[in-house]
Amino acid sequence: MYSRQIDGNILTLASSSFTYDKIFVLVDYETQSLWYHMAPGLVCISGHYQDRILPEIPHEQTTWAQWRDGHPETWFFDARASARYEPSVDNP
Amino acid sequence: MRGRILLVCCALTVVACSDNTIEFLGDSQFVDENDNRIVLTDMNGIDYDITHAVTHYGFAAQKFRGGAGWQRFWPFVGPRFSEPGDGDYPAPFDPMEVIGVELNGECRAYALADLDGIEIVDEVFGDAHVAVGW
Repeated sequence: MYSRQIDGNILTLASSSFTYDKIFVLVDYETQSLWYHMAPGLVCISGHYQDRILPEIPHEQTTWAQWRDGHPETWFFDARASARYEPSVDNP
Repeated sequence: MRGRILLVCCALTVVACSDNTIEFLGDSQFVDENDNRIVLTDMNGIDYDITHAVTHYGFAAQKFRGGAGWQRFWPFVGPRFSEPGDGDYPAPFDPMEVIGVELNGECRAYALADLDGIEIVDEVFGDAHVAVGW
């Protein structure tokens, strides 16, 4: 989980469809830069933001039961009800 | 591909999909004959210059795989959630694995099964814009 803010801009991050060492390489739609996870975050390995880092956001990988026990007001992501990016003239 | 010579072009794999469409999966890397740039090209013809990734970070060009095109993997940009008390809210002791986040006073969880290693959720927590993936 990473920040997607840089230089006052907000990036739309997605899978580039490429993998490296079985890990997906991400792309931002705004500049088509490539991003890859290397501590301490996502490093831009190609493109406009070359060598810049999007910092990792603290999170936990755990079971739902354990997470909810400590965070009973948690909202749960509903993939089926969620909207995906739609390309358009403004968002090619 | 004018102006380039082929450096590596792994054999394209033709996959017959269940809906009888044909899908090409392969890996293409080229070096520009003018300035020796190393370029990844996806199946939609979009080029990515990975020369810096190779020369500065030590990436091995031949280890990049895939390239079906990012149009196949639209991220979630309008995430929806269920809240405690909603009918579809998971049972308290559901054993599924999740990524849990507490940020700017908001708590959210994402089932790993929904992220599946490839899905990205472009999210907002208060004024913090983040990407969730696994």
